[in-house]
Amino acid sequence: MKKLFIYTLLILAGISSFLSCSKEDKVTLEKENLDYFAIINKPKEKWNALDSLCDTIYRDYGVKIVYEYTPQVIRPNDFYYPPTYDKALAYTRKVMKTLWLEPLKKNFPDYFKRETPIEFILMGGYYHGHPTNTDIAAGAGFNGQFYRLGMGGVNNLDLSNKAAVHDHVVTLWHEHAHNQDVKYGRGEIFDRISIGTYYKEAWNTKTEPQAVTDGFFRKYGGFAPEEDFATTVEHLTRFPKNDALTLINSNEKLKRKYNLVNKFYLDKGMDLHKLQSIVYDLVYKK
Amino acid sequence: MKNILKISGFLALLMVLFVSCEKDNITTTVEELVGTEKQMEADLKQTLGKSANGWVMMVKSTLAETAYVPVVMQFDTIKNMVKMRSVYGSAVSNQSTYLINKGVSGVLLNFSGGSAVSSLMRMDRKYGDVTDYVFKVLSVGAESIKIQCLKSGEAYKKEGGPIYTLFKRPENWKWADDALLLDLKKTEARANVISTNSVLTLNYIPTGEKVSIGSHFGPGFDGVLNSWQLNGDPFYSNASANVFDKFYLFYAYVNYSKGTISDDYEDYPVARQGHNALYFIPFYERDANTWASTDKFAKSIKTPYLVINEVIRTGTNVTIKVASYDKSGKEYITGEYRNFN
Amino acid sequence: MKKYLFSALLFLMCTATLTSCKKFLNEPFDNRLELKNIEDYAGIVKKSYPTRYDLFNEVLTDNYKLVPNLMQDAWKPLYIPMYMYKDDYQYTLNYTSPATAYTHLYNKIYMANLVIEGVLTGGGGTAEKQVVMAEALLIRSYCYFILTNIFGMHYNPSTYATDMAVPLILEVNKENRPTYSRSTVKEVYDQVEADLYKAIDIYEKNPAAVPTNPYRFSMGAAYAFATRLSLYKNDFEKTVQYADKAIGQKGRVLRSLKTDYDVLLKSGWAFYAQQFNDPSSHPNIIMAVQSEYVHHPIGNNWGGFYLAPDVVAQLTDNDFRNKITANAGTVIDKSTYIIKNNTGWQTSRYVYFNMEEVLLSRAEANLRGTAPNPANAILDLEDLRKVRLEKYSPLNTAGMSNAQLLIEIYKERRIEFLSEGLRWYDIKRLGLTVEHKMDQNSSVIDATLVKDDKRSALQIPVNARIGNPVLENQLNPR
Repeated sequence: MKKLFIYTLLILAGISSFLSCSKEDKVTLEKENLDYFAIINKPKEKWNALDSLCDTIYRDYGVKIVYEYTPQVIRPNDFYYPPTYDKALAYTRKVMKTLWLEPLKKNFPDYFKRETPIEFILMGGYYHGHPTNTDIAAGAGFNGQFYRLGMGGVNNLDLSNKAAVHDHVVTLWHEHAHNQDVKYGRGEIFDRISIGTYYKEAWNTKTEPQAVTDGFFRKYGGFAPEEDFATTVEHLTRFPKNDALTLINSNEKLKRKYNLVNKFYLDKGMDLHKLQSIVYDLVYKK
Repeated sequence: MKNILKISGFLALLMVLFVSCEKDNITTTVEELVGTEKQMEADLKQTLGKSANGWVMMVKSTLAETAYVPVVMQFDTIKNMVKMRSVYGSAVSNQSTYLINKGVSGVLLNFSGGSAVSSLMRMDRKYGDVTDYVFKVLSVGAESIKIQCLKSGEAYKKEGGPIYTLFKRPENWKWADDALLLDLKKTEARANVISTNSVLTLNYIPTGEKVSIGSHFGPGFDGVLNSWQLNGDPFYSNASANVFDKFYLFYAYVNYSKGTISDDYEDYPVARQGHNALYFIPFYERDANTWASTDKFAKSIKTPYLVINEVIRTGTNVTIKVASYDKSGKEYITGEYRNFN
Repeated sequence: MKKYLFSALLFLMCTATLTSCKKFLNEPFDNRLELKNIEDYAGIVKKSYPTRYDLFNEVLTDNYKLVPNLMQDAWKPLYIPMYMYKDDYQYTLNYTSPATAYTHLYNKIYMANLVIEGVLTGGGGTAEKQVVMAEALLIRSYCYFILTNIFGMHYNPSTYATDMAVPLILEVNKENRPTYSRSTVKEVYDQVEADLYKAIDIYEKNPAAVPTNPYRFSMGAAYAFATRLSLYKNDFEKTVQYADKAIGQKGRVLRSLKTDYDVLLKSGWAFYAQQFNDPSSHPNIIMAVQSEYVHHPIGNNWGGFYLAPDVVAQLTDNDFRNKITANAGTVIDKSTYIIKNNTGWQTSRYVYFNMEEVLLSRAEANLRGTAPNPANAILDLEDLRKVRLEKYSPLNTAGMSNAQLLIEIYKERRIEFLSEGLRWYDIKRLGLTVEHKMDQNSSVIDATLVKDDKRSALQIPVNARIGNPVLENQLNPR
């Protein structure tokens, strides 16, 4: 009996040793509990001048300016390229602070409080669907989002060129309009104004006067209702009230779009005509 | 009773065996793993700062087989800033940020700001084979750091691009220093170089082959430089890649068949001035001749660039010492432009 | 005595049990409908019309390109493998797919078989019973026609005797769990034709009893079906013959896309899409079906599949078919889709047969037959162009060879039936090459389908193989 026990024990021990052996071969690293994507803020002792500036802006305006790209910030299947350090620093100081956030907070405090995105991405270049394709999208390419705004072309923006800077800020408000559109919806009534007459892919084959006749502020606005809405905002932000209204009064569809969009913004505490004159003065008169 | 005891004892033993087996299954704990990752992160942080002259990454151009294009990186590990020198140029204040991030594949070395690396990722593969500015860190050693581009290229392609082994910058790479040895935008540098006939001699170290090519730097673009910088510079006109100073370019006339100083030239490739370097990458698509000439030159000298390590001036005699490097940073070509016999 | 009593009691009890049994069995245990007379069978046949679950096939064609970032994530495991011509799509998802189509079509075949087997022995008028059976035959025929074209190679007399199609089930199953093995393409086509022509014969003999409802097989629909079948068989004489008959029944009425466009301008996308396939306002529709929404991967801004660049290029500004497209995503996504159905998750109408198909099939047959008739082909083609182009001018056909004319007809066919599920069968029968990319910005082509590609016979779905192991040994070669 005793012997039998010992033999069995021996055999089992033998088997178990083999089992453990084969199991050991398959040891894999258990990684799932590691939070690789935890966002770790840069420790203060590592801050450069731009980090300090971004921190000030965050404290003053609640907007996190992102100039460094990490896989947590940039989605993997599209191609965005970070701005150079010098360009980003100058851009943040001038465009982010002086031309966007400061006047916004001062002149439209309610609108600022409710409608300012919490994250702003600086892009060196533009959106690219392919790492080296030469075609680019002029806009930032990811502004149809709720809380995040971004602008492209920081590397090539000449801050001493007033016309270029003005155009850039106006475009920023265009992009922000997409943000507002996504957040609140431009509404069925707006969509019905030009329904069925959008140019779609052929927008670039049209002329600007043709676009106005067809009821679009720009030919690009003829691409789709989203851009129609944003170019309406852009028009009001770009041109002085009287000039803007002259064009608007020349076309019934433009008039209807203007009335809707102007009210959309006024209801939220933003007078686009006033914004226009503030932006213009800041760029050209200071 | 005894038997029962024996049996239960036996069973207990058996259970212990199996239990221990199961425990055997997990040999790496999360804590250990975090420890490994932290160790690698710390090693990387330290090692990056341990080369005073920086680290070198050699990228491959589709224009050459043996010659690789150097990018020198000097890390400031206190402020997480990095200075980069490439043969394609240098940025205004030459600083950029980097981060050590974590990804699903482990520790990442992320050139998080616009730099030579992000620029090369964006440019045509003639400039280099970089497919991401974020790199997986594969290994960290005292003399080398092995990294791999996180993306392999286009969208929806597999993770993991080309692998680079960074090494410490060799002392004799004078071209990579801050000082500009030959800035042809400046009058004093142009004397006896621009509009001057010379000969380019090249020694191919691995084969011992020697080549002489008649040469002449022409100022043909000087009058239209501004407009070329705006519209012709493939870096400048491509905002995503625009990290370098505006370029200077000139015709580098050549005579392949007559390897002496003379007035006769057969072809006119275009050279661009980088940071203490000249590079010959075709870039102006509207002009097929210039494109073809430049392409031909780069292929015939078997390198898309020549770094300038020394400029010797004796009276009107000028010798420009040039070189091109292989994958491991060893001299593959040495040579000189000389305007006297 | 006691024993007697006990026996008697037992006997009575038994009788009682049996009596109650009898009564119990007289009633269907779950109040189900018993098929007794013509009304019952007509009711079944009305329910036997299949949904257009074969519309997934647009994903396989060259009509569409993939834009993954504009795709509902839940659909990726289903449609991306399919787009790559792989068999291992996620078959358990109940969206439009080969797996759902297979199950659904066999369900409908079961119902049709029920009618075909029983209707003639039930009560009702002879003509009516004949016509109900004919309608069931047409449904069964149509279901097998779709099944063989999805899961088999295209009809090809040099290989159809060995090319495998799908199992032919022509009777209501009475066994417990029977297994079925696949028939050949020839066998299935023979059956499809036998059913179809038998039905047409019955219809022609009993015209008064034939349904005229556009949601059922009318005389015109049966002819339109015969037109398509003949075209797929390269039987051009018959194609013309049945197209003529269909036109004789329904008139040569084409969709006025301008009218639809006016509805869009006046009432917006939702109403436009709701009425687009409504046969009562669109006499060009010979037969339609109303079903739950099945246009998942196409025709909306979250499906992930958008019109291929060459299709978009063909839809010029002057074409009304351009005016019923819209863009998904932003300008950089270059994603255009055509709207022919409700794009919400509600009931919508889908087309089985329309006059445009009859006309273009006839035009093609008129060019490819043994005695080509290009003049007639041009007439049919121009008739369609007249109602598709905003500013119509006739094609300059002078000097065009028949082959060139044919190219024009194929071009028209492609854009006319966008998202209607016909292109895939055209690709199969004409042996077209299709190239699919994962990344539209890339130069890399990830999947290519060539002429007579084995993968053009989709694999028998896993759900059909479970419980029918015979099929495991009869899978389509890869």
